[in-house]
Amino acid sequence: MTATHEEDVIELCGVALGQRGSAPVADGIDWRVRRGEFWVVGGFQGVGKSDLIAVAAGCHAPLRGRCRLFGVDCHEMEERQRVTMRLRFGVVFENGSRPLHRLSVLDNVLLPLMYHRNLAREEAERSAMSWIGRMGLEPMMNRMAGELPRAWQQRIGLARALILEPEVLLLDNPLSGLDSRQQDWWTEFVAGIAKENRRTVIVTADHTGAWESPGRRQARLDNGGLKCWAEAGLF
Amino acid sequence: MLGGEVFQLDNAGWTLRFARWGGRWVLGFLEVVRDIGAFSLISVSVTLNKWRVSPRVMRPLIWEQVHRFGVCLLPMILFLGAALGILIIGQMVSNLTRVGAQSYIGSVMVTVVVRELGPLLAAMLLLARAGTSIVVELGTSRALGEVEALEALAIDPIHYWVVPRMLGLAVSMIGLTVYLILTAMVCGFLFAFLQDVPMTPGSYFGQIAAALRWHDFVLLGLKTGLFGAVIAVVACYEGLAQPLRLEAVPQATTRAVVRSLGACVALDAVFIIFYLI
Repeated sequence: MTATHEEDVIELCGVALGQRGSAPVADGIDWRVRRGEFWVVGGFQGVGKSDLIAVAAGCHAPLRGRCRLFGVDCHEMEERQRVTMRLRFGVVFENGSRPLHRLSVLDNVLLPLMYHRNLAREEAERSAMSWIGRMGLEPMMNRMAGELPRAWQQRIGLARALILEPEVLLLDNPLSGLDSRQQDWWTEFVAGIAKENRRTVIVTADHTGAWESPGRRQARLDNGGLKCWAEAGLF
Repeated sequence: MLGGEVFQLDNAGWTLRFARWGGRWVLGFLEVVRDIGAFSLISVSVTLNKWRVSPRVMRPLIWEQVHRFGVCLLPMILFLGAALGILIIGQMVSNLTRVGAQSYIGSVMVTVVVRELGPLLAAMLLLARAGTSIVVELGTSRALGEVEALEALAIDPIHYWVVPRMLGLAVSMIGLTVYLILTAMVCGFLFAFLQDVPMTPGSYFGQIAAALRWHDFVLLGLKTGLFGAVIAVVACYEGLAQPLRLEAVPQATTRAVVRSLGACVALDAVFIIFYLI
């Protein structure tokens, strides 16, 4: 791999993905994501898309290979640096995005803001309300997250990921299990978010059709590794 | 002849099997002690290193645990204290007076109630109420993927989940034990008074106060605080330390109760050494 470019956000070199103690599900992944790019990563279920998101966000170390985030090697990061780095990434998980079930919708969204910025609740609420409004979560903001349908839990995950204004947004199969109306909302909203502050967006999907759009980069993950295309619509 | 050899072989086989079973059990036990010990050290280290991190989130979480497992348990602990007072202390006072051993009431009360029975009973109550609830809560959270969600938000699950429970239960346990001991002593005297035991409140409480030493207060605080922290850490370990499926949560709860109880009794045994010195 060539020298790090200052616009490089994520660099994976010879990375193997999978669970510790078992054989890798994908190996030999070389990938470079630059600032402001919109990547759509396709692949069948079980090929390691969620692992790819976890490694790209610095949440997990790869089984093999090197991972650099904003030019810093993941293995060389200290605890404080790791926390600072992780705040530059927003992650939305698959299947409901894992909200904290015993917290209300509002508390789920407030948590990262209050924890990392140590804001008073009233002050944090003012910031959170704009995101809650944009997600259409206002009518249910005092309900427990665990009581809500999965589609709304997924939006809580998106609001929680965006509340700290991350530079990179990673979405793991966000359209899975949603109806066509919800899918349209997601594709439109994420397209808008990507344009704000030249944010880098990475989306994984079983079927990439809904995300294909001119100017977006596309890749396909399988057991052989990651195959990248310059533009969408070339599968 | 042949029968004798078979019997000897059988005997050797059983001995070998028993030795293997015993060895496996000892190794398994040592592994559990090592893992819970490591988890405790990590929890203490996170508590100290992140003491000043996010006080606006962490302080309400600690007070929430004190309220849930301390204040809300108060009626139950008062009931238990009254029962202990009536069933054991009242009868003990009455019997000691009957055989003319009133002068031993103070030291017997301090040894039995303040040092041993009070802390252990409070620990059992806290374990039944808080320990089980913590394993179910955290086990479910782990099974639903909330640990990964917190890690993605750069929030340490040990800091967010374990530290408030450890501190909250330690504080709750100290408070509950003090209330249990006081209630037991007052109810014990009332029961003895109703049985016409010739003893004034002044001499009863005077004897107890005279038998108490400064180190009783220090060790009581230390012991009960540690009981609370141990119950919290073992429960959190069972709920969080390994990936769980939802079906595995009940087994984890049973393990947590047995292991917490074992840890509290072992800790109690260590404190006996301090009392004997």
